[in-house]
Order: sequence, then C-alpha cells, then structure tokens
Amino acid sequence: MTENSSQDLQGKNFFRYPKIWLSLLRNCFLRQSEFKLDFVGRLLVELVWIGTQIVFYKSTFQFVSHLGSWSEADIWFFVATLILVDSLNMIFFHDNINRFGQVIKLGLLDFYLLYPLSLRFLCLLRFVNVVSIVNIFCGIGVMIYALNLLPTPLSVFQILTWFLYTGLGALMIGLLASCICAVAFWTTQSTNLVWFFYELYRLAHRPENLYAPWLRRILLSAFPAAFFISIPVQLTLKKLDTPFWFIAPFLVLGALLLISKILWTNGVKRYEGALS
Amino acid sequence: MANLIHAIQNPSPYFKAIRNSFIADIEYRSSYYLLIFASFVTVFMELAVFDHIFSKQESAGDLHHSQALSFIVLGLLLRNGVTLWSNISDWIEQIRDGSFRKFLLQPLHMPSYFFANAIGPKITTWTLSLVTFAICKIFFSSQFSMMLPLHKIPMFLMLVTFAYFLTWQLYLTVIYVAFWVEEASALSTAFNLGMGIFTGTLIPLSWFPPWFREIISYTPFPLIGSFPLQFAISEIPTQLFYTQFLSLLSWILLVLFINAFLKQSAFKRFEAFGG
Repeated sequence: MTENSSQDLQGKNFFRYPKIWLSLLRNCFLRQSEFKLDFVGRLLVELVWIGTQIVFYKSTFQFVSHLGSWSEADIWFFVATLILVDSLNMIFFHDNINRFGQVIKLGLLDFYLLYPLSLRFLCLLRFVNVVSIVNIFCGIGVMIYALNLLPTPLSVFQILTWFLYTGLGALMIGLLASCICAVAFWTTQSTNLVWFFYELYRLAHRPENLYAPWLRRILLSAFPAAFFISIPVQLTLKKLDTPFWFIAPFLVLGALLLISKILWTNGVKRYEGALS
Repeated sequence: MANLIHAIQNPSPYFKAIRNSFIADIEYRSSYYLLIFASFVTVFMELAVFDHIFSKQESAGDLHHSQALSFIVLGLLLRNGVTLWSNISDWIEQIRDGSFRKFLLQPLHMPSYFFANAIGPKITTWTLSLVTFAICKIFFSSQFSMMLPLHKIPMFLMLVTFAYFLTWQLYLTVIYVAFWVEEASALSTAFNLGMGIFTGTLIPLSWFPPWFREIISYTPFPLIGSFPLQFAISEIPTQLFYTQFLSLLSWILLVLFINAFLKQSAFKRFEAFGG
C-alpha cells in the first residue's frame, strides 16, 4: 500500500492531492471554529507572536542603525520573510508533527495505512492550522513596509530568487520535521523530540550571522536552520553573492530528501501496529 | 467558603496533590535537559541582538551594558517561573468533559487544589532555573552584574512569590471564563506569549514608547516581571519600591475579589454530564 501510495505522489494522481488537501482544510476550519472564543483566542496567539517580533526589532532600532551587517530595512525584510515562512510551517506541518507521536502510540497509523493515499501526505498534512492563514496577511503587510524602506526596489531577478529560496527554506522545515516524526517509529514517544526540533528551529528567527561563530557553524551544517530564512533573505538582498551560496540550499535540500526517505521507508517497515 | 475553611483545617489532600503532580512531572527526565536547552536557546537569541546594541553604546534606556546578561537570564527565569502551560488546558478539559464535578461532590477547595497541582510541576522548573542561573553565572561571570546582596534576597524571593500568586490568580480567571465558553486554552496561550512583552522581561519597558508604557502601567503585568527584575539588577528608589509593592498587593486583592465573584457564577452555570 505504501509503495503504491508513494508512486501515487509521483504519478498522474499527484494532481488529486491539492483537491484532497482543500477538503481537509474545510474539515479543519469547521472543527476549529466550533468554539468561537477559542478560535478568536488562537487568532490572538498568532497576532501576539507576530507583535512580539515586531516590537522586539522596533525597540532595538531606536538605539542602533545597524545590527551587524543588517540595516533596519534588511531586518524588516527578514522579519516579513520569517512571518511568511513560519506561517507556512504552522498551516501545513505544525499540528501534524505535534500529533504524530499519538498517531503511532495509539495505533492510528493502522488506519492511515489503509487509505489509498500517500502515507507521508496523511501524516504530515492531515491537520491544517486554519488560524495561521491570518499570519500570511500580516507577513504581506510587513513585507510591503520593508519594501518601502529598502533603498532600491527589488529587481525581477531578486524577486524570483526570494520566491525560489524561501520556498526551498519552507520545504526544508517540512523535511526536517518529517525526519523528526520518523524517529517516533523507533522511540514511540516523540513529544520531546518535537520540542527539541522547535527549540532549534527558533534559532532561525534571528539572522544567523548575528550569532557567535560556533553557533553559526552549527546552523549552517548540523541543523541547517540558517537556510530556512536567513540565507534566502541574504541571497535576495545580494549580501551573499558567491555561487556556493546559490547551490548550497539545493545540496541541503537533496540531503534532507534522502535522509527523510530512508527514515520513513525503514520506519514504516518497523511499524508493527498498535492494534495488531 | 466552607470548602476553604475545610482546606485550612485539613490541608493533607493539597500536599498530596503537590507531591503527586511533582512525581508525575519528574517521570519524564528528558524534559529537564530540554528545558535547560530551551532556556539557553532564548539566551543566545537575545544575546545575539543585545551584544550588537551594546557594542556601540554603554546604555540603552535604563539598561546598562553590564546589566544586559543579568536582564536576559533573570527575565527568562522569571517568565519560566511564573507561566503555566499544560495545567490550564487540563483544567479546561475537565470543565468540558464533566470530570470537574468532583469539586462539587468532594469537600475540596477548587482554587487551592488548582494551586497545589500547579506548584508540583513548577518545583522542577524552579530547580532547573537555578541550574541555568548557576551555569550562566559560572560561564559568564564577568558579564553578570546584579544588585542583589544577601540582605535583599528574601525580599526578592517574596516579590517573586507574590508575582507567581498573582499570575496563578489570572490563570484562574481564564479557567472561570471557560465555564461560559467551554474552550479557552488559546486565551491562556496568548497570555503566556504576551507575558514576555507586557511584563518587561523580554525587552526592558523603558525601550517602549511612552504611550505603550502608559497603557501597560494600568495592568498588573509590569508588577509580575519588571518590578522583581529591576529590584534584582538595579537600585530602585525606596518610595518607588513601596508604591509598586502596594500596587502588587492591591492587584492580588482585586483579582482575588473578581475570581471569588466569577467562581460563584461559574459553578452555578456548570452542567456536568456523565452521571
């Protein structure tokens, strides 16, 4: 079943997945809007988080004109990208990663295996965090503000660079998250692993070259969080212009794809089913 | 009221609740390391920015370069020390699934029982906070500047205790709100996230624009975070100290009064199911 499903994702049936995802989105919207005040509260959570980022940098720039090599306009461009990338992570992956340990522990994966769908699609995209869609609008708002502050408008090449590398960054978060989830096939309990992942992910919320050199090296290698937001922004703003930095995100993505595939293939083989 | 008197006369179930929730919390040892790790991630994230600010000037707002690290570490520990994450959702869940009825059937004083359950897991957090503080003190001793001589420590601990009590009362308000709306966990999450900004433990309040400080001064948040923090890292004028201390006590009394009123209406409204 899993093998078929994996071919399913690569074959012509791939195009039915967006339609399925939209059904899941509708289903999640109905579930989440059941408790009205809680829905508003969740919106508030998102706005408080975005507000915290904005207030932090706004307060900082009253004392300095630059943070390292980052001007105020650069930082706002970074913050806008951060909000947008994070909202993609929240909408698509966050709720699923948090639930995955339970899916394994309670044997719900047995049912997932029976569906004529890709297992990874179901495990990583089944639950949609509808409220986080509002973050996209906030991110666009901050982006407009940042673009107005930039000394020169972005060229078409820069805009394409931003879309390409930011997309790769968001994809890397999903792949790393899928690797973390796959570890649950061995450990059963994944709550703390997910917590650990999100703590490391938080390091991506600052430009990597603001950190101490040893931490920067880790963020560019062992846990490539710098490639989520910081590197795409620097490539767009031409702060990095050697060919290596344009190729590196593809290499990291390739490595993550490979690791994720190996972990999932072996993990599913190892899964014995809680109900069997 | 009868339950409160009973609780004072017979505190043993509450001590057992502290013990049990503490034991349940220490079951997952890997959480300890993660909590310390999470604390250091926050320290590094803040240091990354603070270092750049203070590389060009000696002070920013009312924060001096030498106080920056103490501010970051103590601010973080205060935030971790007073916020509750999991307990609130559990209690709100109990209201929804009806198991909350035990407080109506048993002679238990619900706020005290909630407090006891909240203290258990916090014992671990407070211990780990001390470990984090000690590690920072050892490794960054040259950058650590505090105005906390031995004779000020009891007062500092008292301020933190009052701050914790006030925060716990505010969480209790959220729980009572859940009797009307059934699900209010997101409100407590928003409250926890907002704590960093509003209490002045993530960014010094003096860095905010005057209008924001004006609004914040009408809320209890600066008294929960900024007040104990400023007491620890700088010298607060005596008169200002007493004014803030009295404000803290007044807020506690006010929220206690509001909660007593809310509790009465909330319990009347409760419709347990399940037989």
